[in-house]
Formats: sequence, C-alpha cells, structure tokens
Amino acid sequence: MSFTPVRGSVTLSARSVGKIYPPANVVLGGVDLDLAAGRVHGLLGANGAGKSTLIKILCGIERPTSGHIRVADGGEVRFAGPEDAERAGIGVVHQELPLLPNLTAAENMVLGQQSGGFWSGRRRRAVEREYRLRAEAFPGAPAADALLKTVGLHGWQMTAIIRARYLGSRVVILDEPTSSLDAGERRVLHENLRRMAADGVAILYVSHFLEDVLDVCDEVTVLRDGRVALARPAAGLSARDLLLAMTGDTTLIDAALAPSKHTQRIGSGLVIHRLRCPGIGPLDLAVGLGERVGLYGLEGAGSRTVLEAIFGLRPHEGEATWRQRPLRGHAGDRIAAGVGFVSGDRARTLIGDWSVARNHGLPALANRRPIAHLRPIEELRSARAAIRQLAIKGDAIQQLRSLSGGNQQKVALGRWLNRSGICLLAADPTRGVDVRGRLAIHAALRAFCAQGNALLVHSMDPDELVELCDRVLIVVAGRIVATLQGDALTSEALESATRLRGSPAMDRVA
Amino acid sequence: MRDYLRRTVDLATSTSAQALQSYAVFLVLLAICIGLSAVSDVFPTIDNIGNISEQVSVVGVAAMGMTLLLVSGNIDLSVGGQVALIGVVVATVSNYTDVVVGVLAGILVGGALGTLNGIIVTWFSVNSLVATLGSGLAFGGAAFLLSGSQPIVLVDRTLQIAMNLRLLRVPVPTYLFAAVIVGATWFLHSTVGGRELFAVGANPEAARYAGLRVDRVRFVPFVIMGLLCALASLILTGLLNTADPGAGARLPLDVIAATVVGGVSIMGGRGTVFMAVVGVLLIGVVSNGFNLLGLDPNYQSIFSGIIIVVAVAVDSALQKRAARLRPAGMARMEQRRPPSDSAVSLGDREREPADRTNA
Repeated sequence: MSFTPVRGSVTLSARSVGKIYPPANVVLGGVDLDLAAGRVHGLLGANGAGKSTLIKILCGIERPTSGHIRVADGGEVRFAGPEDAERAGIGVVHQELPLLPNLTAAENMVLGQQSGGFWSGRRRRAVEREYRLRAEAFPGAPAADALLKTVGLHGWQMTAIIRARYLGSRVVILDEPTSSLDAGERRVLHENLRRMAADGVAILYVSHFLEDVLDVCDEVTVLRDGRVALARPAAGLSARDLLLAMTGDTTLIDAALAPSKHTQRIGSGLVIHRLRCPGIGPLDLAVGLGERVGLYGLEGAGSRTVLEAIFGLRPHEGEATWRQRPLRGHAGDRIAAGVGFVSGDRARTLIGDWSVARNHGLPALANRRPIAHLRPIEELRSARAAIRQLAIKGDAIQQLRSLSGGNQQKVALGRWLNRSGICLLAADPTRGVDVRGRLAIHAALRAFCAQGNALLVHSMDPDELVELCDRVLIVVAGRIVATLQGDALTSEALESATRLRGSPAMDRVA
Repeated sequence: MRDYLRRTVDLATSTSAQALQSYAVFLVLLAICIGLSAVSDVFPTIDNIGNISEQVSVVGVAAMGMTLLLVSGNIDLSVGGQVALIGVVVATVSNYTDVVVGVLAGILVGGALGTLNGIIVTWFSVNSLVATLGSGLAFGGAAFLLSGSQPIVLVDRTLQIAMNLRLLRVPVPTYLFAAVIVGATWFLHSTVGGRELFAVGANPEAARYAGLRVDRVRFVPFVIMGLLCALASLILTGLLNTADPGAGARLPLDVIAATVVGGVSIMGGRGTVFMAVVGVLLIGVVSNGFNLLGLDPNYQSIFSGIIIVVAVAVDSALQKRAARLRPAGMARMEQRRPPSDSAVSLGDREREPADRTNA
C-alpha cells in the first residue's frame, strides 16, 4: 500500500455514524470522529455511552445504521467484516486480544497472512528476523520465539501492536490498553504509542483512565448517551472537565473528589498471622472493623494470591481469624464465617448464561444442604435489592451476559453486600469498569465498610487504592514491605514504594 | 399458590435458550406419534403405549442419571458394565440365598460402583470420559467372569412376576421410570444440589469462587447414577428373568443418544429432565414404529444415528443464534480471555476445562 502520511492530515473520518438496534434502541445517535496521522486521539465514555459500538463499527464487526466512514485515500468505505477493515489499514489492539496463546510472538505477528511453512527453518527464521526488526522499536516486546501464553498481558499487547504495524495499519485502535498494566508497563506503552504516532500512524486510544488519556492523547472525544459530549485538543483539559463531560452531573464528581473520612475502628477484624504459601510470606496483617485496607504490588508480587489464600482457594499455612472466628478449610466454610470475595475477572466468577438473579444467589448456596429447596423468590428479591442499591442497569431476570461489563461487576459485588459482618476481599474490583460505575462501586464499598464490615482490596491501579483505602500495604515478592496512610498515601508514593526492594523476581530467589 | 409462584419465578429467572429446542424435539415426537397413529391401528392402543414405556424404562432410568451427570459436566460410559455386573450379582446372590437379599446386594453394588467412578473422577482428577470407559470395561469383564460367560436364569420367579405385572394396564417398570422422573426433576430443578450441578457444569471456576465444594458436587451424580443403574438392572433382569453378562453392550450409547437428542448439552451446564424424557420417548417410539411397520431393524440404527446428529447440529445452531442475538461480536470477544493478571494462576487456567459457556 503506497501511503505517505502527512502529520495532521485526516486518515479516517467518521461522519454522523449512528447505530440503532431493533426495535428502537439508539446506541449511537450520529457521532463524528476524525483520526489524524501522527496524533493520538482519546475516546472516553461511561459504560453504555456507545464507545464499544463505535469501535466495533470502525473495525468492521458491526455495520452502522446511518452515517459513513471515509479513509484518506480510499473515499467512503463499507466494511462487511473485520477483514475488510484490516485491509483498509485499521488495526485493533483489543481488550480481549484475538491472538493465539500457543504460537510464538513472531508467528502471531504474521497470523492469517502466511499459511504454514513454519516447519521449515528458513521461513521461520525469516519471520523471526522480520519480527526482531520491528520489535527493536518497541522496548519490552516479547522475544520472537516466546510463546504468547508465557508473556503476560503486556507482552500480548506489544505483539498485537507489532502485528498492526506489520500489517501496515495506518489507524490503530487500542481498547482499554492499560486496564491490567502496572505503572511501569503503562509508561512503556505510552512511549511506544508516541513513537508509533511519530511514524505517521493515527491512534485511537479508548480508556476509562482519565490520567492515561490526558498523559498520552493529543485530542479527546467524550461520548455520552451515544452522542459526542466533548471534542477538543487535550491540552488545557483537566480530569474534572472529562468527568463532567462523561457523567453530565456534578454531584457524583464532588462526592468522589471529597476527602475520604477515616472510619477506622480497629477492633477484632481480620487478623492474619504468618500466612505462607508458595511465593508468599510469611506475612502478617490486620484489618479493623470499618476499615478499608489496600494491597498494592507489581504484577507477580502476589497480592492477589494473598486474597485467594485468605478465601481458602489456595493451600496455605498460618492462622487467619475474622471477628475472632478462625478461617479454615474450604472457601464455603469461610463464607459461612463471613468472608466474601469479588474479582474483576468476571469470566471466572460469574456465569454468563445465567440470569442476574441466579448469579446473585450462587454464593448463598454454598452452605445449604444439597437437598434443601431453592428459594427463587427470596433470590429474586435480594437480587432486585442489589440492583437498586448499586444502580445496576438491567433486570434481575435478564441474562447476565446481556449486561455491560460494569454492570456485571456490580452484580458480582452485590452478592456480598446484603449481609452484615462481612470481610470482603476484592481483587481489582473495578477492572474494565467506567468512571461512573467505579465511583458507584467505591461509594458502595465505603458505605458497606462504614456499617462495620471490612475491606481488603488489591488493585493494579494505584489511584483506585488512594481513592478507596484508609491505608495501603505494599507487597513486594510476597511480603509486606511498607504501609502508607494519611498524607503519605499518594499514587506516586505507592509506585515508588513497590520499587523499594528491587524487582520482585530477584527477591523471590532469596 | 405459593408453590405455583415459586415455580413461575424460577422459570422466569432461568434464561435457558435450550427451552426452544426441547419444544422442537417435543413437536417432532408428537408428529411421529400422529404419523404412526395414521398408518398403524396398533400404535395408539393403550397396550402398545404400555409396551413402549416398558421397553424404554431401562434406558430411561439410566438416562435420568446421565442427565444429572451431563449437567454437572461429566459423563458415564460405564452404565453398560454397571447394569451387566449388577444383574449378574442380583441373579447369583438370589440363586444362592433369597431374592430379597439379591435385590439388596444389587442396590449395594450399584452404589459402590458409582462411588468408585466418582472417586476416580474427582479424587484422582481423571477425565470422566476416560475413567468410565475404563471402569465400564472392567465392570463388564467382571460380569462375564462372575457368571462364567453364561446368562444366569433366576430360580425364584418373584422378580419376574413383579416386573411383568400391570397395574391399571400400566406395567410396573413404567411406574418405576415415572417415579425416577419425578425424583430427578425434583432434585435437578428445585434443590440446592441441583442448582450446584448446573453451576459446576457451566463454569467450575465461578462455582469455586462462590464457595461451592466443586469436587463434592461432581461426586454425587456418579453415586446416583450407580443406584439408578441398579434399578435399571433390576427391571431388565426381572423382565427377562435372566441376567445376561453381555446385556449392557449398547446401553451407554443408547442412554447418551436419548439424553442428547432431547437437548441436554454434552458440554455441561445446560439441560432439563423434561428434555431427556422427550429424547428417551422419541427413540422408543421410533423403534416401536419400525417394529410395527415391519422394517428391517438395521434401518432403525441408521435412523437413530441420523436423529442424534441432527439434534446436536440443531443444538449448535441454536447456540450460534443465541450468540448472534447478543450485540454482534460479543461472542467473538468472549471466546478469548486475556492472560490472567497474576502469574501464579497460570496453572489454574490450564487445569480449567474449556469455557463451556461458549462451546
């Protein structure tokens, strides 16, 4: 494809793109979007604002019901499928990346472009050489012969980006690229994006993280209820401007930005003594009643493992008590003792085929006799209460899968909030949830803890912990190395604290 | 009134896309019945219907157990071996002692064989397909050894008389089958244990995170299957008054065929007792129809084979349709998950069976 990019020239333009699902569900009501060569364009919007639909239209998965899309040298384009979009030079680095885990990074780069030939060393070496050439421009890219399943999310992403470059994409769409990255990886990604933009690629950067958008983007478009609520250069915009454009109401924002009241009532809450399991500990910690405590560590440092061990999902040694009741044995016993677990990994903790009500009622089954009768009415009532409490968009009898990610996450959370005396363990509780949903979840967690419950939360996002927690424990190589609270609790401090003792991998040898 | 409300709410909160298929199969069953009634005067008689229900009772009773197993994400290929071995035990013990002792011994052995299967699958984490293929061969071999490779005729005819009895023109095995249907429906669809089977079959990881004892949940249906095999074996032995060590050769396939034809998903997590019953009846009616029309029984095998493949194809098509009814592209995205965020849990991902909700 002979294409010479001119920085600033419009590579892709969408005009009054609309999408209506029958019968009359207007998801997009005429959106304009211009992506320019050499620019990083941020796209923001709450869940249900039409962000994902717009991306799907741009990458050919869905067809718009109105409006049109033009590319720089091809005039108007109509995509019959993702292949067409790829051919037109639009590459996607997706939230759930469609690459093959059992192939190497180099093989994934040429996926679908070359058939076979990998048995002969010559072809393979040629492809790997090609890959290395391109990977040079991207520090932190996985090795050419590394199997993709071994490289972690960051590696997948890099491979997808290198693949997009290999395919000659002049528009690259990144959907939630930073939702599972730690701060260091995020920095590397942003540097790479800037470098890619400098090559004349137009980048669409879709994210929930305002800071990330402000950090890397040149222009920002905010969608609200299927329409453009704001479209401006990023320079001069503040997080508050973006929030306001996204939510359209100031009360939520003020609530979120208000200083958190410390509701510490250290009593006999959760007490962990000498917890050990592979890669972890020995480790002591305590969470008082009404307290919100965070665990922060780099990927692989083990903060999620600690939570899973406390919930009984991993074999471990050591003692744990909640309100003086020992936590032992199976996860079901620990639920009976008042411990709950919510994970941002929805595919692992919810059942997409089931209704909201059934998903809501699942943990309640754990400690009932097998021949006891189900209580569908109570289940429905309890699910409806959770829906009201967390403002979940959807009905209790709806299939869970039909809810947006943020609302699914609220369902996962709502399962534990209807009881009292609960110690909630949360692993990335707002992963992939938009700002509004995140605020709502945080507000619910605060209110929940204020009633004398306790929260131990792990998150990959330091800002979330700063916003949510009374204090944060820093986990490095399976041990707690520092505690931050009060004025010392800032996201910068969290990030520097994780680097206190060098890289986690090195410590683990000891 | 309250019970009615409970059922309605329960139905409303179930989002099974499978319901459609079970009705489709039900309509096919009705159509075949109407067709057969038109061409044959014998078919719609009460006696013939009694015959059909008696003939399907052995497969039917085992199919109820298979439904529970399939829903929980497992399968049992050893039903043939179990039925044969239990039959031989019942006949041998009856001939040596008393028929009541024989029946009790059969039930005991059934429970034991099911427990054995359950232990192999849950404690030793052997794939149920392989585990029960092996155990089925072993059970069958034991049956031949114990019986000296000869069918054993029961001296005491009590069992035969009981099983061939008709009350109100309905054969006793039909009552037994009906009782098992009622029991299975109750367990699978109105108890906590039944819901747990669905959860474990649909997403074992989600069940684990909700505190369910996944291994225990998986274990129970194997034991139930063993006990139901004992009942099936008692019916079979009673009807013929003979325990044949080779009796179960075709049974596993017939049972799985009937269940799957009805629409119980072989991938776990989806299915109802009603579906399995419709499947059992469909196969039984077709077989009966072939007999009445005097067709070569070999056609029957061909026909049954075709129905099974069509049923599974319809199942897949419905799944795809259900996927398309969601915003397009969702399914595609759900197929792949990003690598999990903690390096330690990589092992978990690999142990976890393929995501069944998308299968």
